[in-house]
Amino acid sequence: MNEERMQILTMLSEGKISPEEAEKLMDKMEKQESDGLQRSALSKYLYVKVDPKNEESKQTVRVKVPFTLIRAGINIAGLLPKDVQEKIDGAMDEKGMSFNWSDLKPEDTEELLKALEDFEVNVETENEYVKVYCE
Amino acid sequence: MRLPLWLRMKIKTEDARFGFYIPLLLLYLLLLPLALLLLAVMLIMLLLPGLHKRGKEALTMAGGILKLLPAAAGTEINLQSEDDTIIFHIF
Repeated sequence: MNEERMQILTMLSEGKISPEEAEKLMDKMEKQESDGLQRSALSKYLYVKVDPKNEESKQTVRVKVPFTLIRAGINIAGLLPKDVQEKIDGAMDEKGMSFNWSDLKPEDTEELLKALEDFEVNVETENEYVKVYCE
Repeated sequence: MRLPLWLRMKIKTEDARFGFYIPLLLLYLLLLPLALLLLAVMLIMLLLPGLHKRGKEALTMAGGILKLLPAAAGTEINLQSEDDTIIFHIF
């Protein structure tokens, strides 16, 4: 429980504010928290960097994808007509990935994006370094 | 969120070398009549009992695709090899 929440509850227990006022303050605080989360998600990007091990090589890859685009892409998949979703699910199932697009809810997307915030993959191959991360 | 206004593309290969900035606002204006036409078709589909379901799906998809546009702002792809360079930025 964060400090602001505790402060509101203390004020309520001391009788300085009424339960209705406490509820209003809680709602306001939750809205501010959610706005803050959305803002932070908006400014986040997924990066893919590929650098050569050999310093003389010029082969590099830099990809920067906004989180908002990932979110919109996932949401679009959920808007696909049922028959199209079934075809995609079937094709993925054939490849050994059992996945149902219709099971993906907006809250799952948010959870996925939140999890991506701490995501980092570092791969070292014979010729290059690959780094996938979010910032 | 705002619509991206520029698309930067640069391609440098052994055979070709070009780079340009596309003002997306012009592209939106060019595509607007087509979008309006498609919207009219979708609305007509909504009114027809046999195509109502498809029309509703198409309209929902169109809304989702429109949301992709502002979301794409900030996308950057840079590919560099020994001789070739490809740069693609939306901003």
